[in-house]
Amino acid sequence: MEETTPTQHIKLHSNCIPVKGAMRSVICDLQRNLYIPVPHSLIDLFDEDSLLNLELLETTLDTASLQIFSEYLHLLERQEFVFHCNKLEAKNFPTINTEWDFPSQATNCVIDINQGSEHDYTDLIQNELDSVNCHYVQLRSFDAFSLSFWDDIIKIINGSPIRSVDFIIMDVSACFSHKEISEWVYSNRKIRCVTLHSSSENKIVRQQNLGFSLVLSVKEKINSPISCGNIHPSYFSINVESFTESLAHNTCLNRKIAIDTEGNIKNCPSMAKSYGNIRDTKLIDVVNNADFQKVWHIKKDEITKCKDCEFRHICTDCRAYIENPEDQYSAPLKCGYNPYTCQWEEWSTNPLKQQAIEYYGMQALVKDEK
Amino acid sequence: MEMSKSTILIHSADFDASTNDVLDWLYYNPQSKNFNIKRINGSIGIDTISMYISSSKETPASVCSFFDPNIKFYWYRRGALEILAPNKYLIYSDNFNHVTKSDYADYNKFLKELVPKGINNPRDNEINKLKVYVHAKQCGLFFPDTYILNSFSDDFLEKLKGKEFVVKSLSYPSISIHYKSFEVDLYSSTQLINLKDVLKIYPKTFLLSQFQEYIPKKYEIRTFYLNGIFKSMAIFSQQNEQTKVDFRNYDLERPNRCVPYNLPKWYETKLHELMLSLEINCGSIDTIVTPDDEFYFLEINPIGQFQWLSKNCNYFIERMIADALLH
Repeated sequence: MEETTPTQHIKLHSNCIPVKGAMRSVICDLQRNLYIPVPHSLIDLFDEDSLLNLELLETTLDTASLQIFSEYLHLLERQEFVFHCNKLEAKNFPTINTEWDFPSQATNCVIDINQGSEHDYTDLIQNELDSVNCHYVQLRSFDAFSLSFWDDIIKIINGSPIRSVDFIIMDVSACFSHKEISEWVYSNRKIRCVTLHSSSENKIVRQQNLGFSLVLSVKEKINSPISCGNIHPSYFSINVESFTESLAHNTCLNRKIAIDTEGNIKNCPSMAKSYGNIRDTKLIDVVNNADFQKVWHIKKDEITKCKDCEFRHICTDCRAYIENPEDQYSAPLKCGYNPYTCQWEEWSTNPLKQQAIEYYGMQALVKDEK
Repeated sequence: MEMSKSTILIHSADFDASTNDVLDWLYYNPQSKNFNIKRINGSIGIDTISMYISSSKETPASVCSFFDPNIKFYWYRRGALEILAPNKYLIYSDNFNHVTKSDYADYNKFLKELVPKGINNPRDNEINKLKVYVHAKQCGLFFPDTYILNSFSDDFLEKLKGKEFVVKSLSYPSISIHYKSFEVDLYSSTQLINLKDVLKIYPKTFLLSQFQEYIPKKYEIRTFYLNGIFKSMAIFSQQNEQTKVDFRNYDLERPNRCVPYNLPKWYETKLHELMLSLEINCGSIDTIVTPDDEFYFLEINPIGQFQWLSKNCNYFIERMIADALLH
């Protein structure tokens, strides 16, 4: 048996990953889905194997620094970001595999609907989405539809390999009551969330159950794709899948497919470029098109501002509305975070963003939000 | 042509999420187009079968209504496999029924030797803990002293004086009992016991149970094993009182820290030897690492859960299985 050495080291757990921003770092706990901002100087104490020699530290830090460190050590221990170990056993704890992969040619699909839409839902769900092994669908409508319209669609989804579906639909009391929609959601178990927009109040209509069956109503009017693309901590996604995806891919558009109200196939409903219409174009052909895939690979590490942001690997992205419409690597327009001051500010009033707001015709939307 | 395609047969159960996950990877792989992929949920009852052996053949074979010769690969995950007695013979008498049942049992057992090659085999479920430990001992693995008892022997009471033991069910941790008009499911997790607990029961008999010396843990290791490949995860269950003895007492608010782990090579070699000697090519293996860095082998679960291991450690085990099915 090998001689055991004293546990004088601490090691960061491999799923608690520090990400450095311009001014500070965050430790992303990918297992417990949380993050904690810490100073760079704390992260710099760990070596390339995420190890920190506590005994050595006592001889190198002055008393004041040691006092501060002990407070941070307490935080790291309380969060179980670190464990005490000896150098030998630390070798048995490798870094986490950072590969991202998913068994779908298109992981998610957004389908926009208005009164003029002529989508063939049966063909779309049973044949087209199945051909790209799509697991997740969001249906978003800008006009009012009856519950029986949605019921016809969910029946097709229930019999398909699609795992979960979100609805963003207009709240019109003439079409359905909140009680009716709640019951409908409860009896269709693939529904993850129904968001009722243009509603009279913001509230939770039905509580979620194991991540499914949530019904929300919001006052916001969603009558075009222009309201999408917000960047906010409430949209952060702190898990292994999103983190690894962001290392090599775009966190919004990678393997996304969108069908706009007219049936045009796009990377995102808010983007101009169409790769054909579902009337006569196969989704699998679009997904396999190298040109279509280009935006999938725009990484956070390449985007202005994002690359200096400590939240870059847990954050969403938007490539449709950007600060400089001429530069596809410019920062998301609707992000108010400043990684150089670590402050969240209101994006829509930022003087540097007014030109882009005008370019996208968002003046009315911005006024509404204020 | 459809006819000439070989078949991948997946024997599983309704609602087995891991089977769904593997199927996703199968369909995603363009090679799957060359196969018929067939999934069967639940028990497979075989109505017509002939098993045969001939002096001119090396091994016995079978012709059966279920396993057609096109099956290239059989992934056993869940469910039973048995030869059905034709209905008309079953109605005569209990006596006759009994005779056929025991006859059938022998050949049902033998049938499992004849199923197509693949991942796991229904016979892996018949694994016996003591048999596993006999093999483990031959491979030079440490494991906790283990008693299978339905009453407390003097020997055991003596042993209990100096040590702590845990008690757990023999195999399946839950039993269903009928009480009045209810059917009650009782789930028993692993519990620590001491001499005082035992003396409350002594000298009564009870359901056959497993008593095992309590091994102090630094962390537990859950390993997924497939044909010599090891994917391991360390579970830091000691920090939490709720999960100290049995990590299945999940703390949902604050789940045990679960991180990728590499077992030492010498230990993997011994486990590999054990799996070969038991002729089980896939399974989940539990290990304890003690505060003194000793490795205690606990058990093999041939059809264990691997989804949480795969997700926590980003191992893509489901893709690994799909690749193995397609070669």
